[in-house]
Amino acid sequence: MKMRPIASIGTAAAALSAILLLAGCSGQPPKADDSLVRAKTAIDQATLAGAGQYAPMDLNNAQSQLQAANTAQASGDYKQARYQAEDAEVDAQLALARTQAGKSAEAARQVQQGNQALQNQVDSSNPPQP
Amino acid sequence: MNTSHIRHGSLAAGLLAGTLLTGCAGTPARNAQLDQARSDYAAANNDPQVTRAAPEQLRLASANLSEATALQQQKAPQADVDHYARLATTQVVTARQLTEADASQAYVKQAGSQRSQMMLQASQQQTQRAQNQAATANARADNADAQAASAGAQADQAQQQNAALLTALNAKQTDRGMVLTLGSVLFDSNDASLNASGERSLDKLGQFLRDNPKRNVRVEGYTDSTGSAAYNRDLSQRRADAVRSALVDGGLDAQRATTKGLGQDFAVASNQTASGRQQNRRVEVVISDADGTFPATR
Repeated sequence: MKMRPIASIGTAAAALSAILLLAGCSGQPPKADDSLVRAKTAIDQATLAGAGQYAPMDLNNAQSQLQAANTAQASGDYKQARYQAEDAEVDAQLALARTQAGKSAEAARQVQQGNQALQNQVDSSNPPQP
Repeated sequence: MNTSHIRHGSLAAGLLAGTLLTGCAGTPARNAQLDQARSDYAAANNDPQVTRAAPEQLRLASANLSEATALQQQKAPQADVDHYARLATTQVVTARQLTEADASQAYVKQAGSQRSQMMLQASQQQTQRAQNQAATANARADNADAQAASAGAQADQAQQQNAALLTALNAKQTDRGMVLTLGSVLFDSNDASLNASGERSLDKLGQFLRDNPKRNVRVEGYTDSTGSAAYNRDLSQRRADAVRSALVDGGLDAQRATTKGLGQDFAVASNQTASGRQQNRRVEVVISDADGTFPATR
């Protein structure tokens, strides 16, 4: 799990290796409710920023995956729930980034148009030298 | 961003697990999702714009890649490897979007200073245009002033010359205009012709009229009351004509002088005394205004 802070890195390393040792070749991670919370927070943040307009597909993916994660959690499939919550979270963060890119691009276009108009005005007052 | 990660834990765990579990398998098979994720990450990580704009996302992606790699080496289920590889791939895309946003913001900033520069240029142009217009207007005004001053100076000069000449001519300002009186001593008695003194007086008048080509003269003859009115009118006319002829002989354009004989009318002194009668025997040359018109006429 690569998305939350942990107090002691050493503890984490020990815990994880212990788990892998016990589980053999496949891992069985514990219940992780906070991944669901983090996904929800990220989706809300993206929505607030305007992802519904600038990144509707990414936002929609995130929302569907969170829904599936909640379902999996409710039916006791914790690993599935965590994976789907993690997917939801990264998709929501992508939605937010895409929204920021879209808004900035719009601002850049407006400024560029404004400057072009100003340049035309300056040029028209300065007839070209023969 | 509201996610952070375990930087070292997973790597340590992976290595430890790897050494303990080598008995599970031989060389791990390739995972296409992981290969793709690695390639995407490498490209982004080699782009200085991305590393500058989205270092946090790249770190997250890198950590997930490590996790996926570890799982791959442990021969974990491919779905698990896929999951972490996919997380990494999405995070690389996010990093690129953040880089785009960063570039646009930098453009807006740069364009803002460009705009300020152009506004300055436009306002400088306006100032320059206004200054040029003002300078042109000033130059025209100065020119007009100079012309007016020059005309004024010329007018003053002309006026001074006239005044001097009129004083020299001994002319008097009347309601009819400037009047130059030629007395009877300038004529022989009972005669219409001018004597030498009379001719000298007319020389000065002739000079004045040459210097002031717009001025005209009315020559008016007068007599005393001796003799009949008809005789006196005729005599006064002949004297006026004599003065006019003398002026024309001196170079005056004939059209500039008219004559009139007024006889014994408009006496200036009493006809009962000899001196009075002498004064009444005269020719008056009325000089027009500077533009050639006479204010009043007899």
